[in-house]
Amino acid sequence: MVHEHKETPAVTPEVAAKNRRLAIILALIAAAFYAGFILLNM
Amino acid sequence: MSEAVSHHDHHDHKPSGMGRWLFSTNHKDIGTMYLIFALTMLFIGGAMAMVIRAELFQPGLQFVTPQFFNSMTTVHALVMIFGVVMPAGVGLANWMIPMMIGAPDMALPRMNNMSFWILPFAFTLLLSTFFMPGGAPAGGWTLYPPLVLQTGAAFPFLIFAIHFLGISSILGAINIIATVFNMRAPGMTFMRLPLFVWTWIITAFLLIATMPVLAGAVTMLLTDKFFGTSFFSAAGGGDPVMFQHVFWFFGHPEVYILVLPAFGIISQVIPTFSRKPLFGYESMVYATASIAFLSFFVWAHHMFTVGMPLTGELFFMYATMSIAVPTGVKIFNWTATMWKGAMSFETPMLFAIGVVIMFSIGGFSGLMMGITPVDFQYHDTYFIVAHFHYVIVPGILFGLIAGVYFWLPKWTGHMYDEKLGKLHFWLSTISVNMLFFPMHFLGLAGMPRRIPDYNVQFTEWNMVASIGGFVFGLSQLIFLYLIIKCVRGGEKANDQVWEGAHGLEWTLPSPPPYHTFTTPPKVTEATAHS
Amino acid sequence: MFVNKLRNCLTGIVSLVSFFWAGTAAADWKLNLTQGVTPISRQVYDLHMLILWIVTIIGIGVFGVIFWSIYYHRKSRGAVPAQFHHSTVAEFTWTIIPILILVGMAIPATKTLVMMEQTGDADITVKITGYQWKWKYDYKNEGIGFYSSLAQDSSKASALRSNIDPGTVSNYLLDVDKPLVLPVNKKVRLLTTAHDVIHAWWVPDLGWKRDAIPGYINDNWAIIEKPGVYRGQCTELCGIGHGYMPIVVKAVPEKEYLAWVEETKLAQAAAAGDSDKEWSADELKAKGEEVYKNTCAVCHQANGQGVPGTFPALDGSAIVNGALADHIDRVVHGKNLMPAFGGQLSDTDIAAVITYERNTWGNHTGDAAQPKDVKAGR
Repeated sequence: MVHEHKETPAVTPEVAAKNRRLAIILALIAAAFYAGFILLNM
Repeated sequence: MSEAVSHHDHHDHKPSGMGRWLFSTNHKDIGTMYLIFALTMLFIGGAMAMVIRAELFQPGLQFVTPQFFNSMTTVHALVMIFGVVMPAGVGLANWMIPMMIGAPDMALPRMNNMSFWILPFAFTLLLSTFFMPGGAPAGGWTLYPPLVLQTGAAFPFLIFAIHFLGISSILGAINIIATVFNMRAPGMTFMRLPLFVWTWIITAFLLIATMPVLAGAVTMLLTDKFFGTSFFSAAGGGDPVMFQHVFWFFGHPEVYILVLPAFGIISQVIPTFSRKPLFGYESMVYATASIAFLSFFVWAHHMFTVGMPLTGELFFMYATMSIAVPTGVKIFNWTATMWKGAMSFETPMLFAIGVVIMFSIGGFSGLMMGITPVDFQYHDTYFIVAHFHYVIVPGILFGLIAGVYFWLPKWTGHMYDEKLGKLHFWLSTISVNMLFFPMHFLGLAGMPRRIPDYNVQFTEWNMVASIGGFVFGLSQLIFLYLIIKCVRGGEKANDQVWEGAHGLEWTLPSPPPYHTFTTPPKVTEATAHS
Repeated sequence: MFVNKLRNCLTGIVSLVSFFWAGTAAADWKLNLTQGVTPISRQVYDLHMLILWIVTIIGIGVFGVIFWSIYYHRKSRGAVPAQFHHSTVAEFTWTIIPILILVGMAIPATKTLVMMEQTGDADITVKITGYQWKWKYDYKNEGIGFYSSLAQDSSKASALRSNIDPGTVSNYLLDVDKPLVLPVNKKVRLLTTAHDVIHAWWVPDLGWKRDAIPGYINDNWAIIEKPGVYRGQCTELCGIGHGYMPIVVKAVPEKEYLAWVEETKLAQAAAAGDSDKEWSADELKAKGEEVYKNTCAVCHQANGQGVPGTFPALDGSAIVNGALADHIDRVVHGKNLMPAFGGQLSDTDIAAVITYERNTWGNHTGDAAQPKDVKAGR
């Protein structure tokens, strides 16, 4: 069912790694805001 | 142009059946799903608005109980904000950003799929509460405690729906930032990006900073109700006003999250139909960034009447007034783009000009509300309702609609019916003003908001507003019909579609192949934004 | 052609201007904020008009330029597009001028806000408490306090599909049983707080509103300069009765005010004595029906059927038809969403309403509750 995704020249393994790293950093920032605002209120 | 003859194209067959949509990792399909979802939710939220306007047509309670009326106002707002405007913005981002920057797709295509499918799930949770004992939430979309803690069985569903909506938005924002930062085609520098991409970058950062704050606030509501905490209960040592501070710290940047993508669309449409470059590209970027930055410092203007110390009231008054400056810059720059252009008035341009004028009207009432001592008279009245509906409906919604008309030919390969489009515009514009302008008068005359019934002195303007509302609601059926008609067929659209259109997206065929820019294009100053 | 356009424009502008100028336009198509009857309300009105004029003039200017451009810079007229997209002078100008205008607005706004904070040296103080869904007024120094609820004729007419024309009810939804009586030309300090959820107290003619927050007390003042009746409403969503808890301020000359205070003190002392009296079943039922309509019907409905899933029916209810002590306990101490009315109603009122409920609709217990029974059950 999943459409076969050929490698595209634009998305090299390096770019994919950069994407993953940036996504994790941003997610951590979001989590920090979440936790921060609750802790601020305790 | 090389795209059309690229030999990668021979595998441009799309997957078929339900799997194509359920498991899609294609930014065009996911964009389409977001847009169809948003349009569906527009009619659901709109139906709730029709119930509200029907009840408020005359004094006396004719149709619904006060409880149900409060549910209507509460869920109408939640649906419109989280189910219409935000998904539509993300849908347009999904469709257009990769094509505008010369990327083959979004940075994280599987996460993109999940971001979308969370939405129907979350709204099923929320809308199912209508069928629970105690009914749907009725404490206002702003969820203030202690009132919201009186919600019945619907309460946990409300909280979890909001958690899921927040996760969907945060993941979408992460995807957009990663895509724009890491996947621009060579030569597509930041200062060559179309304004729509810029406004979405800034919106995405706002989302990451503020959606978690909303999640934190509603988590604290959940623990107050079920796990014995007293974050917001004075009796337990907490503070109901603290909720308002946390909520509006999210809530104010949220309104810029709603509006910036629409502003980005206007910055694409006006130069195209003026046949003239956008005036002051750099200032537009800096103004947008300033608006976003300042938006973190003004939240308490939503709470001027809680009883803050004088210094607090003064600070928030000055900060709120200051946002008028960069916002004014944007209005002036759009006007200067039109000035001495050679304009034509196809439907997207009509809606865009409507946005500039009617958003400004909303901005004027917003400035009035920013003056704290006078806000003591406006707050929680129909004056506020008039303000935010002006900026959201003929402001943001008309902007999104302009984007749809602007890009429909690109997506479908067919020109939409221009006569019907113009009819949609004129009917919508006249009726939306009938609907919301009288609300300024009602608020000034003393009518509070969120009430199902009112004294006879408010009758006449309420009647005008209700009639405007019914006509406005019905006019959106024209939009629905027109979209379906355009998808099914119409005059063939070429690549550029519009005479004044510039940008990478207008170099692709209409409709574009399933996979575009699998090989990145080379970008020069000439092929960059309009 | 152009002259015609200009004439039409000007007519439009003149009509718009005269609309705003007609501050005392017919109530039905009311357009503007009230000037009110206090120093605060008048300053606020003036500030409102100043900002309104400024934004109107800016709007006419900017929209004028847009409409001019739409007319003259169109392709169908043969316009050839310029290509400029830059002007530091223009950008600078339309950044600096708005800043100056904003500073100009901020100065009078600051002055007014500072004035509104001066709550000291008051002649009388009243504590205002918001309840779901009525107000309580306590005159601390005078030793009187009472609840102020939606007037009965409004309450009846506002029921769903009541078929009563609101136009026949005087001050529909803006009338109460007991108004807040205040002296004119005296500085009154009004403290706002709440008992359950956040409410807000607003009388437009006084010039301000303030939230009433459980656990917190907000401080406000007014000097009412003209005798009269001034009406307002709760302005913070507080549940199903949010639209049904109006405010009525009756401002009277000082002599009249003092007489009213005395009269109220006497009446309250008399009512307190009532709880030792023995009441007849008919007296209790008659009084109880009044209390029920004012206090209980909003949730349990006038016909005692309640709202399925939310507010239980009293007609045929196990508690109403069961042990008297349990019924008293439920009303006095509340349960879940039902407030503890022990804090809001007197022994006599509770005894009366319980007796009424137990002997009306389909309920025929035949018993009556006396005020001393309620006192014992607290």
